[in-house]
Amino acid sequence: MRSGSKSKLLLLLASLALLTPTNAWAYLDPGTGSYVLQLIVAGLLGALFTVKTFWARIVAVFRRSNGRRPTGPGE
Amino acid sequence: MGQLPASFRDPSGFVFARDGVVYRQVNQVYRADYDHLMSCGLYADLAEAGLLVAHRETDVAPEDPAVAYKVLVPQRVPFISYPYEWCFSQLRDAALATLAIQRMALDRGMSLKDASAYNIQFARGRPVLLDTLSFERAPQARPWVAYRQFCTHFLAPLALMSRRDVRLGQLLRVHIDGIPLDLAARLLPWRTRLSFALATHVHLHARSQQRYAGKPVRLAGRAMSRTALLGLLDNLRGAVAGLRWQPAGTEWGDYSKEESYAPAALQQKQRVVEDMLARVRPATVWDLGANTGAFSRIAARQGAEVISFDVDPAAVEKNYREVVRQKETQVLPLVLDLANPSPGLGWHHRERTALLERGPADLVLALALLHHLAISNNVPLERVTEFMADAGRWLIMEFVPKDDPQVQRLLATRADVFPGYTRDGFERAFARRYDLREAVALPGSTRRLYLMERRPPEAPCA
Repeated sequence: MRSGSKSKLLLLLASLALLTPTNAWAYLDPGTGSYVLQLIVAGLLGALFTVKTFWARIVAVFRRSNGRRPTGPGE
Repeated sequence: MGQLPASFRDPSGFVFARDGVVYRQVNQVYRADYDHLMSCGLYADLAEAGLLVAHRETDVAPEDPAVAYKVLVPQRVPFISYPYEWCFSQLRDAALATLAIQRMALDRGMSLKDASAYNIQFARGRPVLLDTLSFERAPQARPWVAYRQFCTHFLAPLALMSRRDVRLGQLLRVHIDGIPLDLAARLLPWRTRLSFALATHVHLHARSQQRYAGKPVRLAGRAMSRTALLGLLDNLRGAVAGLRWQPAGTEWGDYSKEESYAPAALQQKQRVVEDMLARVRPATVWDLGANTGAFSRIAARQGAEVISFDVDPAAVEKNYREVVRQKETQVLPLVLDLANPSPGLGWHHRERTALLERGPADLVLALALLHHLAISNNVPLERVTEFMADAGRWLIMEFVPKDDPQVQRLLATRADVFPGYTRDGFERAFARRYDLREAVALPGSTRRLYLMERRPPEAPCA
């Protein structure tokens, strides 16, 4: 992954998205950068997870139809 | 005794000790979260899975009644160890346990509010979360507040150990709240940027921290979908599971294969140690210089809780893998450099206790160790005696004389400045603090095994 320009773009998008007021609820400071990063990559990680879960289901169905023991998705 | 010095950051409660029993006070401020943890089924599930230390509620008087809600008696953990004493796979298993706990918490509408490696301990061979107050209600999905801590306490050190050098795990001893991500990013090889997970959770994470450092960004209410949160956890789990380290190429990894003993002599040594252990019947044993733990297991088979220390991360790794493979419950392998044992660290030197403060053991095993301390590290025999006497009441010590091939090897490249390193000098040094109970010459070798008992401190020296 070329982190330079890609990350700048992602960070810009995230900064634009973050315009509502804040309050703290954790006794540890979660760290603004750590928080922002999660929001940036949320969509991608969510999509990957959906695909992975979906794929695991397809594989499970395929295995069942082949008479093998079904295996569930990783999560 | 009062509030324990490692337990002060989280206002939800704290740990205290009274009459030798460890309690956890739950404060009023944590009441709703605690009640939810207990009633939603999460506590039962986690305790059942062995991932959270079990506890019972007690009506013992709280330590700080003004703010108290409840007092708990957690199940005893035999020995507190720290991440900088763990081998690679121990830190990795602790990381995977943390993620598994968070995954189960999400299903019950809760979330871990911290992901400190110090909250995990090894009990009966497996990692378990010690801090019952780590959970908070999380009715809506939002970014994980402990994400940064997970990355600095687990992912960054594991990546450094796996992708750069296993010894970098020792950075955890300097950076007590985890390895700073910018430092990890600088130390990791460039190719780790090609791994999506490491690029995201270490490299990009470090840049994001740098960019937003000290900047007020309005974050509240920023939701993160549940799917995204599950995706984050799944990605972290994949990243941790994908990090591997094979114990090879370090100092002692293959030491047990070397010919210090002929097979018959080794069997004889095992029998002698077994008999000496049976004579003492110790409840706790510290095996110092344990290598991969062969003698630790002899003590464990007799029912002792054994801490199996070695300086070599490869030996400890092999030892731990054996614990996992055989589902052993009595042996805890740990990395320890006896020439520089774990000190008191953190606030007031008291957050992480020094090794000797976590003792003493009933019995210390020191087999094929003395020459490494006395000759490789130039520690005078009197000082070895003092350390051993602080570490435990009983001592099984092997004396390896100068004419032994292993000692000859150590002396081959240096001047012999150890005129006092003789059997006589050894016996005199240890007689200052110990009474000799048994000494056995090992056939086919010039080595001898000694069983000694420390004299009470008030007794006059002989």
